[in-house]
Amino acid sequence: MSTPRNNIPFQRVDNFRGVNAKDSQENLVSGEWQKDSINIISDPQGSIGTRKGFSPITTATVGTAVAWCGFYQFTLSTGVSRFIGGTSDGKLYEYASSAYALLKTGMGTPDDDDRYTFHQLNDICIVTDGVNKPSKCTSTGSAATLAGTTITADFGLEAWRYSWLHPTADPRTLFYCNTLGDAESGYESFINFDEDPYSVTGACRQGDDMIVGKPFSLFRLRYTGTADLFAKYRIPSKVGPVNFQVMKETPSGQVLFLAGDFNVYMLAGESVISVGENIQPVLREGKNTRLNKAVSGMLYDRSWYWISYTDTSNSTTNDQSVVMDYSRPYQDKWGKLQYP
Amino acid sequence: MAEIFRNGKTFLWTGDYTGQIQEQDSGTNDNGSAFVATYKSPRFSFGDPTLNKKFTKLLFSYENKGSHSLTITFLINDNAGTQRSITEVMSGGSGASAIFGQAVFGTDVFTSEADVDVNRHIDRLGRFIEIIFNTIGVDEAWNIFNYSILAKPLKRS
Repeated sequence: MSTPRNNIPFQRVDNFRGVNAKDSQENLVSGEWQKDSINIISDPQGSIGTRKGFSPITTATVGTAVAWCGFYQFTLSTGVSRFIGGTSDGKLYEYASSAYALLKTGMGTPDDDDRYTFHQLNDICIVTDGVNKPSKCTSTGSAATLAGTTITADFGLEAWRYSWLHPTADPRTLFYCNTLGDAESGYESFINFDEDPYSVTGACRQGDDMIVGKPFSLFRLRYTGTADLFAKYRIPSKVGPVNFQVMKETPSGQVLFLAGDFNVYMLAGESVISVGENIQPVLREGKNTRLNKAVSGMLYDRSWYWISYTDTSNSTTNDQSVVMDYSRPYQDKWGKLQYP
Repeated sequence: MAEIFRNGKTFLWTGDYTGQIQEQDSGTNDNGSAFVATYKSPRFSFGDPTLNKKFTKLLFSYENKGSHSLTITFLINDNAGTQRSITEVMSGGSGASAIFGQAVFGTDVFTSEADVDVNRHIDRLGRFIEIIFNTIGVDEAWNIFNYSILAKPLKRS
């Protein structure tokens, strides 16, 4: 019996999902797209189209051959914000009135791969550059060296009204300021993460806790309010962030991070979930030796976790970005959780 | 990268390598430059990759995004020699015409079927097909709601 004609239903494709770069074409479901796709986004309403572009916040520049290596909105107790950033030529600038004003020089290596981190305690913004003792910005004026007994650190963050610094000299520890609420009280106390030989690579807040990451482990740090001030325990996992910059807390309290296996993980409560297998091959095809130079950001109004990394083999800059929509979990054809 | 909160709205600002800070997700170009936007579909075999088919039509629905053209390419059996392209101007599509209840007689027109589903001929033979949507020009935005491919079964070769 011959096959009846006109008997094949339409192949209708809607409710677009995400890129799928897994092993073969046959593993794509109809809502997904091939990894050759570029510069498109899927919309929660069920469509696919071009991404939006980008535009400079001002036509001013700090130099056409200068890279920005960190930027921060420093909000004072008065509600006024200062916009502060560090550059590859070792300078700290403030953005105000459509212009960049120089705050400090002599920071960083200097190099495109410098990473400045910023955090604040009351009206002091602490700036680390990985090379020098931390700097500070206050409510007005130029930047200066942070007072007190400080340490050279490559990242810092605030937690429980303490300023925390990651020392370059002893990278398996995290130091915190001596006095609650005083970032200039000195850094002589620390928490040890010497269970294995690896350095602490990143840290991030998760609700009222701090998550500390190493290449193959994650820890949760809690404030006790008594002696000992902080309680540490290991989160069951064998993975961690590549650096401080890629750890981000989502609005619903999960922590996202890029790991050394080119995958993206989500820490939801105590569960570490692999959520980036659909994009993992794309990241793996990039310049592997520069994965630890990746940076990330959150675009909250679109629920996007954004990773900028090095794709081109001879590049020394982050030249490509991938974006994950953390608000729309879906199952791939094997039933695994993915995000567009 | 920095998450910014200004005037009640969140932004993502990213630094570049030319001394500027860029606001992401803004406008339809990259600081005045075009970017290539490409969607490449899965390979559609209609459930039987061994059976030859005639891919007759592409029905699709899109948002009115302006007078530029979207290039639609069909690739049959993964064979680059089969690749053919058509274009569709993005000024049609959903929203191009007023809908009933808001129209002014003598001024507006009723929505036609074409505003919902645009119907283009494919007329290609093969076992499976891929669809590619693509633009390369400045400000050439597009947004596809859905698409359908029609096929007739032929025989196994």
